[in-house]
Amino acid sequence: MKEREIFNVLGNAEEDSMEMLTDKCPEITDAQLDRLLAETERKYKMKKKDNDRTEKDNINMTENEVSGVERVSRPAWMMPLITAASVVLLAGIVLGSVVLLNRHKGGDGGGVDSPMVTASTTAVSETTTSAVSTGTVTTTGTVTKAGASTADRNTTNTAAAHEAVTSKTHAEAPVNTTVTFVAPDKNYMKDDMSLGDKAIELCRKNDEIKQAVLGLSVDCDVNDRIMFSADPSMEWLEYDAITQERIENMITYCRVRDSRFGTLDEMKSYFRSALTEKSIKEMYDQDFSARFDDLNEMDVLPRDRMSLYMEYRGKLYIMNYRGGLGYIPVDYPEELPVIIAEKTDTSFRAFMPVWMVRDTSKSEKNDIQSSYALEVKVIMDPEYNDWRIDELTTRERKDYDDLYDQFRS
Amino acid sequence: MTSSELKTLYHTSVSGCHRALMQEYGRYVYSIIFNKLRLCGTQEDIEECFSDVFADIFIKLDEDQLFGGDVKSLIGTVAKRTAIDRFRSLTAAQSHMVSTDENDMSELASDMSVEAHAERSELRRLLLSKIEELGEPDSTILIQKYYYNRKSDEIAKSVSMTASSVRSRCTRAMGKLRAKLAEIGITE
Repeated sequence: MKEREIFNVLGNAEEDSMEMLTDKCPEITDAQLDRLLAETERKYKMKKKDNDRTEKDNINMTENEVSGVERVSRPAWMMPLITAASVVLLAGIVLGSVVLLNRHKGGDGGGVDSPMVTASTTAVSETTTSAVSTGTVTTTGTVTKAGASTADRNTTNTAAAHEAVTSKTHAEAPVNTTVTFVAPDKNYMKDDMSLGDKAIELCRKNDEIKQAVLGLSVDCDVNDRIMFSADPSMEWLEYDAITQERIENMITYCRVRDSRFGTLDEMKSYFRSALTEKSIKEMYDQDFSARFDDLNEMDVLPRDRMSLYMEYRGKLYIMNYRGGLGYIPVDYPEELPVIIAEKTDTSFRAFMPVWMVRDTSKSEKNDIQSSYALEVKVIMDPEYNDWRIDELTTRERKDYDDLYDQFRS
Repeated sequence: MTSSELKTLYHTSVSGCHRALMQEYGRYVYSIIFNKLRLCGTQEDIEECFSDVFADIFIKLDEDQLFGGDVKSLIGTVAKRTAIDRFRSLTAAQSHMVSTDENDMSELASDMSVEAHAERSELRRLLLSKIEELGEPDSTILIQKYYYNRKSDEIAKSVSMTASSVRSRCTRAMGKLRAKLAEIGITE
């Protein structure tokens, strides 16, 4: 572009020219400053450490000679440490990723229903990114640590504030992997492709539901929004989805424009397309009536009423700030069979291995440490006259492998 | 910020001092680095260089090297040297290096003659003076758009306008600048 060529002349400017260029230099935003400062502090600490080490090792330099001891760092211990940390991380993900812990105990009173959907975080520590565009927004993310200070602007709210959004004071759902695995009778196991495909189809649907519950991969319109005042004690901080301006103590909800649902009732129907009522209550929440019609825009939204989704005057909205929530995609077997057991006309159990996909460019199917197993109880739901997941239990990968060995023997 | 203010801040809180230094001199350092690296480096290179500069400055702070004189001048020097080093490493593939032992050394011409250098320098001064004559916000809009490569909606925030106003002002300002440059015999 010719205009830029004209301005290329300004490179390598002298002192007096630099004065004007500095004067016109864009301001460094707070977010940029935080990010640059964090990186600088990291480099500063490394340099300081090197300097201290140099001093300690008596390294002296003259014009013609350098003497002293030069250390070379050997990170051989890093690999076992990283491997151990990864195993712990994956164990945490396996335990938390299938079941989202939300149970209400009692209603809110005052004619206001409890929130329908809340979401809990899993405490893991990968960085998160969210893709935001003007107009329609679809967000995706990976699991991140609640309240972590990362380059992502959405993680600046306090951990306590984040807790208010992402989990309520509920009794924890049972951790499925603590339920002892009881292998089905070998004689009642079969390799039924049709039922196996159905089980996988329902599990994939449930994965989408999990993402929707976390606010991921949900289309919303950032131009159609409502705002409430935040409880000041939360020190709530958001960044405007369009202008990227910093907004303090305001909570923004954007209109959900998803083809799958636009109201709470539609959301429930969507859940029911893969799950029974019972499994919805166990895995997500038992209440489907979060309506905030008693509030007006800009009213203070009490901390205990904050939730990821809300229905307001007949429309479904999702919270603009969704930092700290994430999901690691999974993949299902093609090479290994889904083992069907205890089949009747109205129910069956399915056992399948599952792989976690950390790198979406490939599936780590051969990495045993990234794999676990699912035990799925599927029933014929009378309301829909179709199969639905009634129970979903995560198992260790070896449970499936043992079953497979029995099945094939 | 004077060196005594800096010293007081440093003894109060080191991290606070670091942040204050970056807030005070961040744009200054960024503009120096950007001026050197804008044509050969990416935004990541520029930000990396920025962090390197301030990391060095923080080390100098620990070593009491910043408290004795003109803080801004020292920071500017560190920034220039670091930016030049980075420029050299980024353009290493294109640099012309010869051994001083070679016989042909004395006959080797530089990439740019003294005359061309002076001419460019004069052109730079003229361009900036003509941009300055456009007044605000046009001069800021042009520099941020075509020199700092910012987008219209980003510039809009700086000058408290809408993005579409920025675009239309930019087009008009560029037209005026071309006319001013043509008046003094500078054409594309």
